[in-house]
This record gives sequence, structure tokens and C-alpha cells, in this order.
Amino acid sequence: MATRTIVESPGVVRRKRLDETYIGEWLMTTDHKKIGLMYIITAFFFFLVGGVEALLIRTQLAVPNGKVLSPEVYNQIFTMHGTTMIFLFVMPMLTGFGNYIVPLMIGARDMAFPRLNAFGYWIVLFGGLFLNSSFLFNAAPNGGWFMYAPLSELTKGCGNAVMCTPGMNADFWLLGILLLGIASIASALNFVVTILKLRAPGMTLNRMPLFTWMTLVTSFLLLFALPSLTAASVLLLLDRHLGTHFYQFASGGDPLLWQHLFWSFGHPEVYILILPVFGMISEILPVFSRKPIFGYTFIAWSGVAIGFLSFTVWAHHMFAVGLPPIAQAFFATSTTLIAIPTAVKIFNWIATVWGGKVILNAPMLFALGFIAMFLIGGLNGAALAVVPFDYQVTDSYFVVAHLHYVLFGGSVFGIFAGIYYWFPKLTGRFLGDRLGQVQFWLMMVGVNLTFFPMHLLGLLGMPRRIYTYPANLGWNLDNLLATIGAFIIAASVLVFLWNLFVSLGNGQKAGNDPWDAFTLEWDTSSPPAHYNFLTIPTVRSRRPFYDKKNPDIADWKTVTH
Amino acid sequence: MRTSLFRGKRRWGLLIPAVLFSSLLFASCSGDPANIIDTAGPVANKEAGLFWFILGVATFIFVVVEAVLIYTIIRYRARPNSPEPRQLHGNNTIEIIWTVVPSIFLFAVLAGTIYTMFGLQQPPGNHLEVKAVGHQWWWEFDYPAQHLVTADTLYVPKGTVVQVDLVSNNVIHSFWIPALAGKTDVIPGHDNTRWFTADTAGTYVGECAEYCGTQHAHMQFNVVVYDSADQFNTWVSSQQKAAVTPSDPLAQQGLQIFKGAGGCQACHGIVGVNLNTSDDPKGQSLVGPNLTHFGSRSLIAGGVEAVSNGPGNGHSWANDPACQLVNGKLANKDNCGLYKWLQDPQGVKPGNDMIIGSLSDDKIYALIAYLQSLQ
Amino acid sequence: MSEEQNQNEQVPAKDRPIKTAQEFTLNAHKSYWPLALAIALCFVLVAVTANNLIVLGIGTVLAAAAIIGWGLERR
Repeated sequence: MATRTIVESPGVVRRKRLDETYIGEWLMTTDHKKIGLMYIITAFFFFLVGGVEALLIRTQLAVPNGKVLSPEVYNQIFTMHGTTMIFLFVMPMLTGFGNYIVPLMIGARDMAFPRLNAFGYWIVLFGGLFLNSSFLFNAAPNGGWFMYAPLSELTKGCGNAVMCTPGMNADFWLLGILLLGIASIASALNFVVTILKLRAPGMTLNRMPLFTWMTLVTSFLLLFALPSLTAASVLLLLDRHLGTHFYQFASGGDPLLWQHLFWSFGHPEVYILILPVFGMISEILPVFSRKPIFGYTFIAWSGVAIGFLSFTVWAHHMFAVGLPPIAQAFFATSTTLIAIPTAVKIFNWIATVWGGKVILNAPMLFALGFIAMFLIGGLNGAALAVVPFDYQVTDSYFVVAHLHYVLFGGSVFGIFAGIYYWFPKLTGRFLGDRLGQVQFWLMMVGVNLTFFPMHLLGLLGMPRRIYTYPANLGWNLDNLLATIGAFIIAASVLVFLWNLFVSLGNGQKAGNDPWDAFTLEWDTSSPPAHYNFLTIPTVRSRRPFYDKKNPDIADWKTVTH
Repeated sequence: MRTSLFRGKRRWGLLIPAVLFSSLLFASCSGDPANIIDTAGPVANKEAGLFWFILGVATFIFVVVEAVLIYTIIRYRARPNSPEPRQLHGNNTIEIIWTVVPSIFLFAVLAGTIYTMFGLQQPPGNHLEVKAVGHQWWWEFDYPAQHLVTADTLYVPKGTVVQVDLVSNNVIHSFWIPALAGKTDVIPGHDNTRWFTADTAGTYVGECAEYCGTQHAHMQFNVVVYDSADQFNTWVSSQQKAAVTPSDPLAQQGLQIFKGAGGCQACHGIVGVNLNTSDDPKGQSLVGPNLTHFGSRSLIAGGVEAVSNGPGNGHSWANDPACQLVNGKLANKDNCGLYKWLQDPQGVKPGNDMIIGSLSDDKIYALIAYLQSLQ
Repeated sequence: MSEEQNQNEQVPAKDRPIKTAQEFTLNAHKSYWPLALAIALCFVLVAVTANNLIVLGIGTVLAAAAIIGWGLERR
């Protein structure tokens, strides 16, 4: 028998063991809910770090010939902004929500490998601290978040008297990324096994919630894409420290090898950053439209299609490198193909809201805002797939506009929708809705004011990653607008922080099922008990909790799936 | 929930993006020199044509889809007496239609994309060949057939196909002249080329568009397009001559400083001083740009604004009023770009290769006199 | 029956029947091996960054110990 609580010997008084203290409980936990919460909090902390880096960038670029940051510091800041937001904010945040919610959604008691789960979290925390510790040595990574070789090589790869990247900056990035990759692979493996093996009785793949579907596809993407990045990073480390020449042309290597390996990871990576968010939106829209998701099968399969296709499009990040036209035509075709499932999802989401009874609270506003902003990101992304146009705007601010519309307008809005939606389940209290609506509108205005002018900047010839710009090229006004927008976004984040603080202390209490939702995670207490479900439910449709609450009009009575 | 305020705000939500989108149209009226829409050559024209097409389609889709979204939200808003909605799970017919129709449209766009892409191949026949070498952080331009080497400004005649061979022996750069053609990366070990033709005379801005290190921001170049082949040939002939030995005593002093121990010739080549010809292999190993006709250039130091008139500005630095020597001195030295550069290159462009310690004002004036004579 | 038991959560803690031992065995126990392995890997990481073979050796030993401990832990 494995009971290790104090209950077993009621007459004996003894000191608490480490794992029974409050700190010990968190340090040694293997409970998916605690781990999920730690992921979410850590990720949010890094969101603030990345946000400060963004504000520094925008302040430097507010006016031409800015003197706020030296070029050396600026180059570190923009590299860390990208690296932090991608690897230390969006990925851990989505892993955190996955960790917390997926086992509850599928009616399991925990993830398949609880200790591996904990290990993944600690690696993310230490990896993030390691990457950011580089600032203390004034050697933060400065090669851009995609670390192109040969700029990221040491002296031997470069010409004349100039060292490509003197110092350890790239080493911090490479080692940090390797460590974080281990965490991602561990958690991806965990999700795949959990979702495939631990679903409640009756929950076929065809009845799984869409957030679970998207997490499953994302996990496969991680498992297949990360090896590419790992290989690329190891080869670069070998080049830098052991005298190999993988990326150095002078000794028979090829700088383009880095780009191919990196983008073979990098493109699936962007779908890793957005697919779970698609899943969240697909959970939230039905609940606040009071009807089921429209076209569950299409949405689930388009997620799978995107997963497969994402491995075929990588060179659309490389249209300007001089690939043969036939190769470019192939990648233009595959990129066009992958646009189709993405577009179809938007129609499905709108059709979900159509004919419903729309409740416009904070989570729903963020979900609807997501659709509106992601549409823009999808349109300017499709524009980038038009190769000759891409020759002009790749590596310019037009791309910066695109990536921020899909990452901020897409991932971040979706994440906030998820936060407002699941906060009552995680904490037992509501996040203030009034303040949430204020945050939403401020963020909408801020995001559009910051990133829309960047389309113009790209069309006006402003390249990416420049620490300043001349005053006579017509870029001044748009840059100033973007900076003002960035500070409006900062204000909206401050509103959120205030809301969080107030709600944790004094928020309105929420019961088990504050939103009258449809999926199993709501059929537990708020927050759920340690064991999640007293008895594992049997599932007969895609909306098991809706069925339980409405036995007369249950889905399993009205539809077959 | 509080929805009464909502309706007014949602209208703003549609109005503001519409205004922002229309601002894209103003980009073409700006007259800014680095514009991809206000084009001056067939390559950029085709690429800009695609832009207008994309803008039209994207605006249409945006307006329609956002309008449907907003209509849906407003029409189906929860009101006290709203009925429970029908629990509709999907409709296969509609879903197939809205998958197939966009697919057909997207494939049509793809066909246009591939057609234009293949149509942008360099036309066969006569062309002017220029080798653009990306350094950290300036551009060198070699004209192999004309045997001349220059830097920072690319001179071409109007109406001629220019083939730019892209070379780097350090990191990846990207060669971009927005008004004339899309960009092509300069990759060490790869022999990429970029071609363009300029249809209108003038000065255009070129940039480096691939992050290449600390001073990537200051790696601009100018493209001067001459109206006639004669003007171009005149330029070529003047550039092919070796540097003249100056007669002005101050300029002669400058030449001595250039040639002296620890002087500029350690990094810079001047044909007739430390190089025999512009093809002299010794020139290839020098770190800094060839200065043979430096006095005629409009852009120096990769366009760091502090020392030039800003990229796209066709004026020669040597004619800048602030750089005119009066009695061997500059009256307004802090406004003379070259003075600031020689006085403190690391301060002006931190991290660049020119580490020269501090020069006295007298030496700087002598050098300016000499460099101005290098027309 | 499941409805009655789920309603247990709404009853104040002190009035609930004492949970049987069985419910606890269904969840994994707490463990310090994941944290230990993570810390050991950090040693390795710092050692590679600082080019320090001694710390690398310590880190590798710790990592091996953590993996073995993890594997042998009673579940």
C-alpha cells in the first residue's frame, strides 16, 4: 500500500517531510495541475520580459537616428525579444494550458508520465534563466532569433579582420535552445501518449475536444521538427568550438545549410505556436454562442493537414537566397496549399457564432478579436507567398507586420481568451470582466496602431533589424505611430495585471461551471481536486458535460458520432 | 453583460482598419526614394503590379469577412428574449463549397505567381556587369569590363540591363534597391546574381536587407542612373584615370598623411598612389574601400547620416558647404560629414573597421583637402 | 451514483467522509528526481558555456545519478 500521508499513524507527531511543506510540495510535484500552473506563471513572467524588450526596441526606433540604445545593445535586445517571446512565452504558456486542461478534458487523472512532466517544466525555467543570465555578462545572443550562419560563427568563418560574432553570445543561445528543446520533446511525448492512451471510456478520437486534437497535432510537430533545430545547433556549436566547417564556404561548407535546417524546424514551429490557440478558440466560441462548433470534422482534419503540410513549406522563408526557380515554384505551391485549411477554419468559426446566442464577455471578445486579427495576418501571409512580391518585402517590416499579426493578434489574443475562460477553473474566482473588456479594447487599438503601419514601412523600403534609420526616407511617422501603439499595448497589459491582482484577492467566486460549458474539465470542482474525477465518466458524444446537464437533448441522442 | 456600449465601438473597429488600409494607397504618392510601389524599372514594376492585385483582393476579402463577423456578432447578440439556438453541428455541403471555391481562387493566384516569377528571369543579350561585394558594413562595386572599382554608389546608364554579381567573403548580406528590383541575398560561396534595368534617370536608395552584424543599419548605397550612355561613359572614363597628384599644398600634405607610416594606405587603395591599377590584386586584400575618386562620391561610410547627406541624396559630399576649406580650415567643422568621420569613426559608426586613434584638426583638414581633389 | 459523489465537493471539508486510501494511490507520488536531473543538466550546461571540465564531470555524474534514481524509484 502506498499511502504516505500523516493520516496513517494518527497518534504519532513528527516533523513534516520536505514534500509536505508548501515549497516542497511545489518543488517535488508531479501533479499536472500544479505543473501547468507553474508553466503558465513562468511563461507570463517571460511575456513581461519580452514586452519590456519590445518597448526598448520601439523607443529606440521612435525617431530617426535614435540614441536610446547603442547598436550592440539593440542587436541583443531584438534577438532576445524574439527568442523570449517564442521559446519562453508562447510555447510554455500553451504547454501549461495543455498540461492543466487536456487531462481534465479527456477524463484522465494525470498525464501519462508525471515525473517527465515535472522535468520538462524545470528545464524550461532553468533554460529561461540561463538565456537571460547572458545579459549579466553583456553577452546576450545578438544574431537575430534565427541565428543565421556565418554571422553566428566565430572568427574562422569570416573574412577580412572582422569576427563574425566575437564572444559567447551565440553560445548562450545555442545551449539555451538545446536545453529548451529537451523540455519540448519531453512534454510532446507526454501529450501524445496521454491523449492516445488515457482517454475516458467512450471518448474516441472523433469525440475528443478540439483543444486536445490541436495539442496532439502540435506534439507530433514538436517531435518531428525539433531534431532539425537540434542538429543545426549542434553543428554550429561544433563549428564554433571544435574547428568543423559545416557552415563555412571557404572550407567546403555552406551557409545555406543552416537556413534549410533552421527553417525545417522554424516553419513547423510557427504552427506549434498557433495550433493550440486554434483549439482554445474552438472551445470558447461554442460556449459563448451556446451552440456546438460548426464542422468539428473539418476543423480537426484541417489541423492534421496543416501539421503534415507544415513540413513542406520551409523555404518560403528563403525566397531571396537564390534557389532555382523550380524549387521556388514548389514552395510557392505548398504554401498556397497550406493556406486553404487555415482559411477554412475562419469560416467554420464564424459559422459557429452565426445563429447562436452570443455572450460578449471578456473571453468571447478576445476570441472574436482573434478571428479579426488572425484574418489580417493570414491575408498578409498569403501576400508573402506571392514570390515576386516577396522578393520586395521579405526581410522588411512587412514581414514584421505579418508575424506580429499572427503571433500577437493570433496567439496572444487566443492566450488571453484562454486565460479569461479557464481562470475560474484554475482559481475558483472570476477575472474581472469589466477590466477585461477595457484591456481588450486597449489591446485592439494598440495592436493595430503598432503593427499596421509596419505594412507601410515595408512597402517604403525599411529593412528589418536595423537599430536606427535615416530621417529622409519617409519612415518617421509610421515608426512613431508604431511606438505609440506599443505603449498602448503596455497599458493594456498593466490593466490585465491590475485585474489579476484584484481578482485573486477579491474576485467574484466561481462555481464548478461558471460558463455553462460543454466539456469534461468543467465537471470538476474549481480548482479541481487532486484526483480530478471521483469516478471516470463514460463519454457518448463530443459534448459529454452538455449531455450530462441536458439529458433530454443530449448530443448522443440527436447526432451520431 | 455590458453590451450597450459595444455597438458604437464595433463600428470604430471597422472604420479604423478601413482608414488604415486606405493609407496604403498614400504610400505611392509619397515620393520617398526607397519605395517599392513608386517604381522605376521593369522588374520592380512587375513586382509592384502584383502588389496592387494583392491589395485589391486582400481588401475585398477583409471587408467581406470582417463585415460578416461583425454582422454575426451584432445580429445574434444575446438579448433577454433570445431563443435557445439550434444546435447545428455542421453542414457538409457548405463546408465543401467554402473549401473548394477559395482553393480554386488560390490556385489561380499561384499560377499568376509562378508565371510572373519565370517572367522575371534576366533577359538574354547585352548587359552591364557589375560585381557588388558586401563587406561589413559597406558595398564595393567593381566593373570588371571597365576595370574600375568604387564604393557606396552604383552608377548605371538608363535603359541598360545591369547584371549584379553578388559576392561576400564574410557574412550574408542582401542587395536591395526597392525602386528598381526585389532583393537577392549575398551569400558567401554562392554566386547569386541580381539583374535590373532603370527606366528613369535619378538617384535611388539601396539597402542591405539581411542582418549582418552591428552596423547592418548603416549599409545603404546609392544608385545613380544616368540619362544617357554618354553621361555614363564620361563617368567611366573619369573613374578609369589614376588619381591626380594634387597641386594645392594642403592637399599635398594630405597625400603625405595618406602615404605615411601608419597612414591610410594600410587599409585604403588609391590607384596611382599605392595601387598600380584598379585590378591590382593588392587592392583585394585591403580592408577599406578604394578611394581613387572619393571626392566625387555622394555617399560615404555606408550612409551613416552623420557623415553623408543621407542615402538617396545625389549631392557630392565634397560640395557640401560645411566641408569647404577656408584658409586651410573648416568654418563649420561639426556640420561637415567627412570631418566628423575622420575625427571619430568609432563614435559615428561604432564597431566598424576604421580604428585610427585621434587625428589633429590640422591633419584632418589636410586629408579633406586631398580627398576633395580626388574627383 | 457519480452525481452524489461529485456533490461531495460542495460539502465543507470537515463534514466530508474521510477519503479512503485508494484515491491517493491512483495519482503519481511527488518526486524529486525530475528537479534533480534538471539541476544536473544545468551543471552540464554551465560547464560547457564556461569551458570547465571539472564542472562538466560533476554535472555528468549528477545527471547519471539522477537518471538512475529516477529509474529505480518506487512508483
